[in-house]
Amino acid sequence: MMIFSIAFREFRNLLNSLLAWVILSGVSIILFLIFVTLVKAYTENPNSSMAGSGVTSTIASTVFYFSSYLFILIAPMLCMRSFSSEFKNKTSQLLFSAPISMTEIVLGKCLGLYLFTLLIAIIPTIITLSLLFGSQLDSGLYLSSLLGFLLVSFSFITIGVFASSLTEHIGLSSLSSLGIILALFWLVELIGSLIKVDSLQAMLQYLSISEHSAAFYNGQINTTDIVFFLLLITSFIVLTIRRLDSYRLQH
Amino acid sequence: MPRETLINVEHLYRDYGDLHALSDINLTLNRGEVLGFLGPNGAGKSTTMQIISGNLAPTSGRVSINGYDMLDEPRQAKAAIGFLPEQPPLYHELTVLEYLEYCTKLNRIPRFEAAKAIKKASERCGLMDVQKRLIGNLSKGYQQRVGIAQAIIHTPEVVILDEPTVGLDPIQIREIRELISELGSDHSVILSTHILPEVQSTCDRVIIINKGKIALENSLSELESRLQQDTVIVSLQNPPPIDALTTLNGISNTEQISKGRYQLSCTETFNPAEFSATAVNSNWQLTELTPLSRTLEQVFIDITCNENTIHEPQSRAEA
Repeated sequence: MMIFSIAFREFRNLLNSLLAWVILSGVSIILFLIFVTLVKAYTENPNSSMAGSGVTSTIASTVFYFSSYLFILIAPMLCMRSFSSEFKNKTSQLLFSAPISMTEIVLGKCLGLYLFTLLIAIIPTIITLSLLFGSQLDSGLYLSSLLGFLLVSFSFITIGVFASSLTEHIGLSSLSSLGIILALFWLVELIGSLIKVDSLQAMLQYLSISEHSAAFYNGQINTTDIVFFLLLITSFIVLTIRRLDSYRLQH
Repeated sequence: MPRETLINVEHLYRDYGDLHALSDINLTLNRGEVLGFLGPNGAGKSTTMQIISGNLAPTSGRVSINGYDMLDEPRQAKAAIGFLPEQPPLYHELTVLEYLEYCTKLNRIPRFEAAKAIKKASERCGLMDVQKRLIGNLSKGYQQRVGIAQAIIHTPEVVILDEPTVGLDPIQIREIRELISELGSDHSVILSTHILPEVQSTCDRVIIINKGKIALENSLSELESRLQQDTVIVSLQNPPPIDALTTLNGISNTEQISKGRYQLSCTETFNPAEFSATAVNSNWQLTELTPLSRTLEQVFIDITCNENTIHEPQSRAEA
């Protein structure tokens, strides 16, 4: 109940901001251009390099794949204000002196941003569903790509919320979330490939988000991948709660 | 009737690194009491308010509100408190109504009572005419009122107001003070300020805090009796030697301010009528006899600037 009030407020705040609408229109334009390019390439040469794979894999999954890449930039922008501006405008005091727990505050904030992510997810969904006018879609592959995109973007959002709880400076908060996202998305994998020690390499690669999301776009839903994302999201939520608790200690 | 303690603060310490912002603060607040929390800037007023409201954790010490410990049962403790921080926690992009609706939700006011609570708080704070306006477009005075409305919307047992009249014009200050006195009738109020008349006009009890320590704790009536006259200024056109004045009944010390003008420190036995009779009989040609009463301001300055000079009142004329 309390979580939903905070989530709803966060969602409304985003809808009230110019930034959110710029992001929504930017995502629409970019994904539409990618989609058109992919469709054009496919229709001109349906049997070339993509031999054996259908429209769902070559077009729909790719659009979702690109969308998750876009979220590397979108998530920091969406989340940067969530706690930073509350700290800056001292409105955090309204939340902290109300009879609500830190957990409810953090879950509410994340939920509001997940809600907005779903709103953004409608764009690639509608664009790719338009393929149904001239073709058929592999519903299994399609849904697993969508699930992959949602898990990746929810993780990015949670990382962004955590970064925003670190500082009251909006710029710094978006930069640090970009940093954490990039590090977890492929930097760990990159470093892993440079290190010749096998066990360390495997461990670093295991931490990589891109590694764990790849299978979804091929139509594979692995339990390990799902558990990885759920763990990632939970850990950053817990980190944010811990961070807010300690905010009362230092200041 | 036994007085019910709503807030109990025991041995509160708070350090910021090496800086001891608060040391050993103890205070209680009873039901229906308006407590003035006085201190110069940087004395630790806001820190104390923040700790009592649960926004800041103390380094050590206990805060219990309405019997609930702030650390062990924060939800129950916070439910009994309405807090207006120094800077009102307002979302400038919301209208007054939207904001207050959000506050009712945060304070767990049931949906069917929310509208009534909003109406009541708005009426008390004079916000009925601005319900549909954006908070960011309101004047500072109205924003402050929205802040107070937010603090009282769930009819908490205790309302904590941190410098509620800062930056307001004199008329707004008077209105806010009236509102505070009105709140005192059915809520307990802690009011922090460095404006002294505010305390004299609204509070039942005063705590003066300086450098993180409680320097004085008194009821306002006790404090006012402390302020009673203990100094008299006299002007004599034909003055006797200064020692002759000191030997008079009820005068403990005499100081010459200027030629023929003296400041007499008096004890309780001093009688102005007797003094003037003596002056006439001795042909001192008395032209002025002014009792000097200490203002709260002087007590405050004495306590906060130099605790040793507390019993030496200063003449206003010198200031």
